[in-house]
Amino acid sequence: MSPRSWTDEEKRHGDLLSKYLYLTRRVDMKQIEKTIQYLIVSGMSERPSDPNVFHLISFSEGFDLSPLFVGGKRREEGIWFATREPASCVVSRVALDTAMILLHRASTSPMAGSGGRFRLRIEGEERGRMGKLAVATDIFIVARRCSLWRSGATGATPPSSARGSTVMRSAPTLKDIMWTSSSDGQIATWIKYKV
Amino acid sequence: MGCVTSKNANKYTPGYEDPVVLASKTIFTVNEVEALYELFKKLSCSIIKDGLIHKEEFQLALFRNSNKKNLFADRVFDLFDIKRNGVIDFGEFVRSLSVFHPNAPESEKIAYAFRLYDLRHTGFIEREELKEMVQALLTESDLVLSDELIDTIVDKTFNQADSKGDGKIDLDEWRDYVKQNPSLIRIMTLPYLKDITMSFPSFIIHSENSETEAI
Repeated sequence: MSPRSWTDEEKRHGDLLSKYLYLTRRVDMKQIEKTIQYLIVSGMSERPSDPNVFHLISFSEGFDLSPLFVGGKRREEGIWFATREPASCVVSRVALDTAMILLHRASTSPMAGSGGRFRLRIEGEERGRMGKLAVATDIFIVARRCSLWRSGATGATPPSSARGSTVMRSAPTLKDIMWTSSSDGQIATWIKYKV
Repeated sequence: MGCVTSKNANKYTPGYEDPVVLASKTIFTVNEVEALYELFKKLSCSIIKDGLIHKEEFQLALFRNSNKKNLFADRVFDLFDIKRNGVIDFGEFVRSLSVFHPNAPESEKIAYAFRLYDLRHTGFIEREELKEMVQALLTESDLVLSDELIDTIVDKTFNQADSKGDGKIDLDEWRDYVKQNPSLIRIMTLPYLKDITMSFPSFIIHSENSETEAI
């Protein structure tokens, strides 16, 4: 069974988003396309490789003892979500939406992994107080029709026009525009992310 | 000042051990152990001012919420509580953290992770335990996946690790598995431990051992 294709409404949203980004040159569209191609070529297809459950478990915040030392801040925070969309589709959407929300030029660097796990990293080009804001997304392809994604902002305090918390709280708009529950129930669910 | 009363002739927290002794038994230097004591005092007096870390204080430190339940944090707490008396004292704190130091031997980390995942202390990681952990992670992340899908992904990993095919993962199988997948023990290293003396400079004032005396 092939993944669900976009509805007309979603297509219109997608077109508008792409046009906006292209015209404002917020994002290097050529880079985005290259990113997707790179990831596909390096093996991120829709076949599930062997996702390692122990690796997934290691992302639990119960194992992250860094707040003991850094006064409550976690090494990694993130949102998890599951989707039936083809991974390549989600890559472009995560890239576009993140870049738009960052409201800055963004560069993407694909760091392809292996074994059904890949990482996409999107970095704002302007510097905040503590460096560049980067959003890293780990992609785990766990089954033919399901991938788990984990997105988190790392490091920098973003410039005031693109606060890190805005990135995460805007994430539901990604869901509203892009994903709807499918009738067989196996779908994307957003986590409310605490900052 | 703080939770350890000055009227108490023994001015240290219960279960305190001499930093020189702890340094000899762990990977930390004497100064690092003293810095850890500053941290320990803070953590162990956050709710119950008795100089021991209770589960609520551990949860408060990790999640900023003393009532937050988490399977994995429970496992960590249980392993830190070496004497199994429901609280973590200073000696247990330092000895346990030693395994998480970046320079601690990998074999120690591998064995520790195995005990973390062996939820029911059977000496093996059973398939049900792995499934329980996956479900805990999904609940924690507010993710809903069907039971069939969870079984599928648990089976895939479990069958890879259970090379002898006897339905459970023993320590040898786990060691082999980690060798093929080194990222599995990423949770066992805390980079912050390398700079512990920088985090708590107040120890410099209280230190009874100078830098030159420490090994």
